[in-house]
Order: sequence, then C-alpha cells, then structure tokens
Amino acid sequence: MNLILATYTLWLREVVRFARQRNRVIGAFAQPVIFWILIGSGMNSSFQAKELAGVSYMEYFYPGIILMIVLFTSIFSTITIIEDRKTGFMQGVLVAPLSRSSIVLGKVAGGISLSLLQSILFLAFILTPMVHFDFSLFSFFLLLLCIIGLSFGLTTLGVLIAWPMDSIQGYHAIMSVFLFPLWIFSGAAFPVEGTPAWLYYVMQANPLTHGLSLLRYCFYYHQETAYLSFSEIQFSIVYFAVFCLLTFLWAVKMVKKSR
Amino acid sequence: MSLALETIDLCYSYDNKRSALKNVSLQVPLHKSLAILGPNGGGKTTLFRLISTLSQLQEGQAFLAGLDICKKEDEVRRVLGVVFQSPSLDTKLTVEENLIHQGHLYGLSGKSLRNLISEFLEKFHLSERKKDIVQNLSGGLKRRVELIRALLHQPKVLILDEPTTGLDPSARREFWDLVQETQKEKGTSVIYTTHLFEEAERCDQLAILDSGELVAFGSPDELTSEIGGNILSIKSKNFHSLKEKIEKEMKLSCRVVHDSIRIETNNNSEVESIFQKYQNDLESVTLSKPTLEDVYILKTGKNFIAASN
Repeated sequence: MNLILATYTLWLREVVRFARQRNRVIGAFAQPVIFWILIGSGMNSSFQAKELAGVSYMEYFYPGIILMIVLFTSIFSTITIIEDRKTGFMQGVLVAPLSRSSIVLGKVAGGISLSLLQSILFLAFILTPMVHFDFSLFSFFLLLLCIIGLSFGLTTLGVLIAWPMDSIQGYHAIMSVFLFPLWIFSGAAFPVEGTPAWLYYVMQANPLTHGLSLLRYCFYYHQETAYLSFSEIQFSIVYFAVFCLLTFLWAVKMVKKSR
Repeated sequence: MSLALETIDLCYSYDNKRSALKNVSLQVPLHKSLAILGPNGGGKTTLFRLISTLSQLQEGQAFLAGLDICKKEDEVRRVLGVVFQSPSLDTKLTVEENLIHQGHLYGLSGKSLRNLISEFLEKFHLSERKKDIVQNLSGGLKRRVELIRALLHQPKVLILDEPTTGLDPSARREFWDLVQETQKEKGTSVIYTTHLFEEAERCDQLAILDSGELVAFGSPDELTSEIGGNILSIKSKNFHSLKEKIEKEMKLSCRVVHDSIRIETNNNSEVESIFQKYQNDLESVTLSKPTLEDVYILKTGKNFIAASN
C-alpha cells in the first residue's frame, strides 16, 4: 500500500511541476514539431528508399519524431533527480520510510505520463494532409501501449544516468554524445536497410531501433510491408522488453545502494 | 531509562582518510533535547547524517528511540522527523501540496491527513498561506513549513541540522519557540546541531564536538559550572600589550577572545586591582558568569570563531 501511495505522490509531483513550468511545456512540444516540419520538408523531395515506395519522408520521419518526443521527455523528466539532489528535496525523500523501488517507479510513471501527453498532442498532425496514415482507433491504442513501453525503458535509462550525476551540465554532455546518437542510429532519420554493414549491426544492437520498429508497426500493422514483418516485430518486442527489465532492475539496485 | 538517542563509540571517516568522528558516545533521554555544538568541520553534520539514516554507520553503534539504526532502518525512519539545513521543500508546489506529498511518503492519506495538515497550519499561523507557492514565501515561513513537514507523522524524535541558518534573529526566535512548544506538548525529543551559543543554551543536554571528538557533554549549567569562577572580560585598544602586562605583573592567565581579554577569576580583589592598576588602558570591564563559549575555549584551548574558519 505504501509503495503505491509513495509512487503515486512522486508521480503527481512530477506532473504538477511540469505543468507549472510553462517553458518546459512549450519547449518539449515545439522542438520536435519544428524538427519534423523543417527537416521533413527539406528531405521530402530527395527521399528515396527501395522498400518504402510511396512513403513520403514526412511520413517516414513521423514515427521517428514520436520516438524523439518519448526519448527526450522521458530523459528530461529524470534531470529533476539532479535538481532534487541539489535543492535538497531528495534528502527528504531518502529519509522517509518508503521502498526505494517507489522512487524509481514514481519517476517512471511521471516520464510515461508526460510522454503520453506530448505524443498525443503531436498525433494531431495525423489529421493534416502532411501525412497519409490509415489510422484507426485500434492503431491509437496500440500506439499508446507502445509509448508506455518505450517511455518505461527510457525513463529508467534516464534514472541510471542521472542518479550518480552531480551536475546538469554533465547530464547534457551525456545527452549529446550518447542519447542523441541513439536516436539518430535508430532508423528515425534514415532506414536501417542500405547502411554499411558495421552501421547495420550497430543499429541492430541499439534498443531504440527496436523501439522504433514497434512504433512504426502501430501505423502499418494492417499492411504487411517488406521491411516490417510480424516476425521482426516479435524479436523487437522481446529485445525491448529485456532492455526495460534490465534497466529497471539496475536502477532499483542503484537507488537502493545509494544514500 | 528510555533513550531518544544512544551512540556507542561512533567513528566515521571520509574515503578512509579524513576522520570526521572519533569514538563519540552519548545518551539522551526521551522527551529531552540535545544540542550538538561545534565549529564548521567539527563533525556535527556527519553525526546528523548518521542518525538521520542518510549515511551508513562505519564503526560503533547507534540507537534511536531504542531502535538499532543499522538493523532497523525502516522503523527508525518512521519515528524520526528531519529538518535539513538546506531546504527540502518543492518550491514549485504550494504549502499544502508539499505537506500532502510529505504525508503520502509516510503512509498518511485522505481526510485524516488533511485534518492533520489544517491543525498544524493553524497552530503555526500558516493557514492563510496554504495555497501559496513555496518559492513566494519568506525564509522564516519556509522554515516553519519545513518544521510542519518534519512533524506531520508525529515522530518520537525530531532532528534538525542548523535549521535557522540564514534567518534573521526574530524569525530564529519564533522558530525555536515553536520547536520548544512541540517538545513540551507532544513530548517529542529534539536533537539539533548548531554553531550558535545562544541556540545551544536552549537545550537540556549539550554535546560539544571539536575535530570529530566529543570534548564536552552535559547540561549547559553543569558545563558552565565546571569553570568554577566568573569571567572577567576586558576591552582595550591595546589588548595585546595589556594582556602581556596582566600576565607578567599579576600572574594571571589570560585569553584573547575576539578583541577582548578574558580572565577566569574567583577573587574580587583581583578584579579591583586590575581596575585600579590599568585604569587608563581600559575601555570596558565586564564581570559575568561563564558562557558556553568559555566552556568551548576551556575544553579545546581554541577560539571558536578561529576554529570555524
């Protein structure tokens, strides 16, 4: 009971804080939209991929942007760990008689909620003529499920990075050299197929590649495409689930051990 | 006798090099208050972190309200209320939201939590500010909210780490009045660290820590009465040369504290003769009972302010 109550209150705090910081709300939504419109429009005419005949770059890039929203929202929501340590808020949580798992779960629940909120806002672009998805209510629920899974894994990854850090600047450095490349080499901006062999294997090892496949599948599940077969998706589900489980266990262990 | 805190040969070092606590053993009865006084780097905060469960014990034992801090960490956390030196409130939330959050962390919820919060807000004169975002409150009010935060789950022991740092004298006084009221009404034991003598005087038991060692432990009255005599404090423009003269000519031991000469004396004729002999050198002369600062100097041989720096 205490685990649920503590997780709930830590989640609620994340959400309320986010809503009260207007810059964060605007920045988190505007950046991916600008990215999508500017890069998408620029690349639209020159984009050609064998397996994706008939798919415009704006459309190809769209799930990649959802991945970006989930990645950055999840990761940014864990920056507050460093802030909480600096301001002293975390010490009040650490001396309370609560399970250490609830600290991680509270963060994860916060990350998931914010990711869902922002992704749903971005989904409004489906209604515009910029993309032509055959999007049903089922696709929508599948997508929500997928975002929850992705955000779970990425928020726990964020906890793992943020927990031992003592400066926000250090965290930003990790973002530039590790997290942004993770996104770039996930197939968000260009397809995995047709890349040099070494890059192909790097991309296959990247958990975000599999996360992105799941996202894409939500848009195309009803039409078997050459590059998105169901067997590949099954592998991606397992790969990403193992990634989530490992990061979560590691994060809980780290939080339990530290003071 | 039930104890609020008992430590046995507590030792702690950072990176196995710098020793922050050396064999600290003390006992504080339930319902009483303990002040831990010392200069910066004396070991106060290390001791605070150990008993608040923020740091893990390395050597020795510690019991809080009879519970072993090492073995029963969770139970210890339940009976402990903590006020930190740095603020632990979320400045983006309102006063009430912060308190609800705190209640949830301690397993309190629903109507009973709301009633409890209302009672505390009323008692601490904060009812009208409950919807205010914490970052808009003054330093004194923020500290009051911190105090409610620590008392909400009705802890047996309240521990505070230099809680009045940065407050003006009136806010400081108000804060300590509230702490003492709580101690009296609810029987809460209070343990606090401070580097201010006037705050240390308010306690039932005083522990003086210097370079990680417990150099004095007892009630403030017991400790000051150890000095025996009164303290003659002399102010003079040339206090260095006057000190030498008094030591040489009257064979009295003098100490310079801040910019005054302090002499421990029991003899009124010594006071009179100093007054007559050095009348022209004197700016002011005060004869008073010994203070805790005198106890500190006696026990450590050091000037407190110099030790802090």
